[in-house]
Amino acid sequence: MEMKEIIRGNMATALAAKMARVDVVPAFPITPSTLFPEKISEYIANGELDAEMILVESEHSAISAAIGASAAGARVATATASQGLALMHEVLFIASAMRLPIVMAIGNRALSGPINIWADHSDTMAERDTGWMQFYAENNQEAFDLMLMAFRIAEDRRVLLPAMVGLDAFTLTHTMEPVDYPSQEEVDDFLPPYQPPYTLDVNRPMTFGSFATPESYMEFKWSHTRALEESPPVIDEIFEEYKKRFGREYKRVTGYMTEDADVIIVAMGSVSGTLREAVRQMRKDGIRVGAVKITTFRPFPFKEIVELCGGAKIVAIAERAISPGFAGPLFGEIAGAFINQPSRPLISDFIIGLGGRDVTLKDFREIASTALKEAEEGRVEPLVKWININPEEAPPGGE
Amino acid sequence: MVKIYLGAVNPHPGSALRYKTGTWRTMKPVVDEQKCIGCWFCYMYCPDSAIQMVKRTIKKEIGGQVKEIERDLAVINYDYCKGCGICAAECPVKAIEMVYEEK
Amino acid sequence: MTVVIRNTDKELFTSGHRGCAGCGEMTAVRQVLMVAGPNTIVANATGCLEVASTGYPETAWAIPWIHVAFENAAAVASGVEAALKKLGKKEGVNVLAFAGDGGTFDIGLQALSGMLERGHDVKFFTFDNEAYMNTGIQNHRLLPGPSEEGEEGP
Repeated sequence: MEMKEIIRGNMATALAAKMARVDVVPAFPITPSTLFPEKISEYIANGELDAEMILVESEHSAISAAIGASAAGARVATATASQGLALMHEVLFIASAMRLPIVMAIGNRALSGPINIWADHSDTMAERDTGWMQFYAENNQEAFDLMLMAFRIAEDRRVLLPAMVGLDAFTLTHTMEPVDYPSQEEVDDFLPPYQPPYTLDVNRPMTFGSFATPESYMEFKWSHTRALEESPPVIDEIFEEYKKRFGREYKRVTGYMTEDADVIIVAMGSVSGTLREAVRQMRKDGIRVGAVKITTFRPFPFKEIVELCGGAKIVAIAERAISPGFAGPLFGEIAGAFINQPSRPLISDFIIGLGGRDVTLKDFREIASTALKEAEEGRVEPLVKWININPEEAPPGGE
Repeated sequence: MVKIYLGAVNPHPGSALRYKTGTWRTMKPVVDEQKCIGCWFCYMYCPDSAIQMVKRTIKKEIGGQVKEIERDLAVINYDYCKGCGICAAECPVKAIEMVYEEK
Repeated sequence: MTVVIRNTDKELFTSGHRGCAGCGEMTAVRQVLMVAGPNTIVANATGCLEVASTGYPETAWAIPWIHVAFENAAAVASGVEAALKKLGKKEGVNVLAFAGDGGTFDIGLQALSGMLERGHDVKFFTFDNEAYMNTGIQNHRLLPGPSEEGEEGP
């Protein structure tokens, strides 16, 4: 039985965590994710959720307590963003290396400095190499669905890895949208209780977090990496099951009008809807443009990207993060996906919407026309273009 | 090759026992069984759990009569003893002597 | 006939760990576990104890034990305790945290403060050897500083 509520993105992820019957939620407030722990504590206070909430004194302790609780056999969720996620950094590697299926909602927000609380993906991109799965929601419905599926995927014995579910700051975290959700019975049927392979149990003592020498470290890293690399079929299987049960379809990467497109614009998160609308409008003007939305950034969908974008003249990446001194992080991934292909499109990088700057239909038109010009000229120069920026106001050497 | 368990969990409690630290030793403690009063001090202080306590019966003169009494005895486990000498230092009756290891 | 009453392989912190000969921390851990008994879970900060006792594939721990990082033993222990409570497994089980003095009062102070304020049922043990010893005797904020005359502290 489907129910509907008009809720904020943070409420959608909190609702998913509640319906997943999380056991322990260690959390620390941070804009724009604070509503998640607030909702969880409300659920506990009014008896809707039987869970232990740990009001930690930092995000570092939030993820540390999450590890302790997960290792003790609990289903654990938390939420954070930006600086909070950065503060967790060293511990994130340990959570995934210990193969603990912690699920964390991220209100994707710019990293300081200057301090800024609005949307971009620099926080989760900085945690790209921590060995976590990363999912990005386009809207609040996706935030709910991905959060719920994240538990099932993370806890699957073939995976056993933690997962982040990204929802853009304010654009999703604070915006009211209608969200359909199943009944508790249906969720219980979809998501059985967590059955950990190993736990901290006095009846069967084990050592968690051993010291590994050069004789074993690489094998641990290899087995962890393999688990992430081999997770796509499991993710696809669970996406498929979710569709059968609840009717909503998810793909790790979704294409839109890509088949005959000369230029394909790739994006993640909440701008994907704007992008599709821009594509629709440009198509009316006779521009052969397509769109690709990446939902699963880790594991990275190399094969699917090549399949969707391989026929285009140019792939234009519209990304909300920058790796200074390189390009946007997504550029490196997509260029990597194509590098060994016998023929490949040009790949062009566009930086959009950092620190919550609006991303509009006009921006996507500019990206498409710039990329098409590059395709005509047969070269991408410069590689990285910042969209909707006033460069004359920002001299590199200062004034 | 070492077996790689999921998440670097080690499911073999106390498996360090297979690593014999006795080879680290340059000096070894020797217990004088006549002097040992079975007080367990050395057992309590040993950082390597390398002292085991055993029960024994000794003859002792009490009030002019020789009686058999039960008394604990410290026995060094040389598989693990690293020869630190804490037991000898802590022994209240100087029943443990540190001597050089000889081949 | 001799009867063995305490054997080396019945310890909760066993022989075969790689602590230096004569290391006092190992003695302290043994003694704490003698009191705590087998129904005990330990959260350990990074440091000599963790390095010397858990070199994979061996472990000197005969009880459930977890190490995550340097500054967060108190937070990890908080999570373990909360999970046991929620799962109905806390009854009769001790949750202990072990850290050095740096891992307790210096880099570990914040996590410890949070754990104490929240009132978790965790017993936190500090091995106070007066410096960051695992890295080679560096100072930390609990050390007595120089006296007013500029002499070195005790």
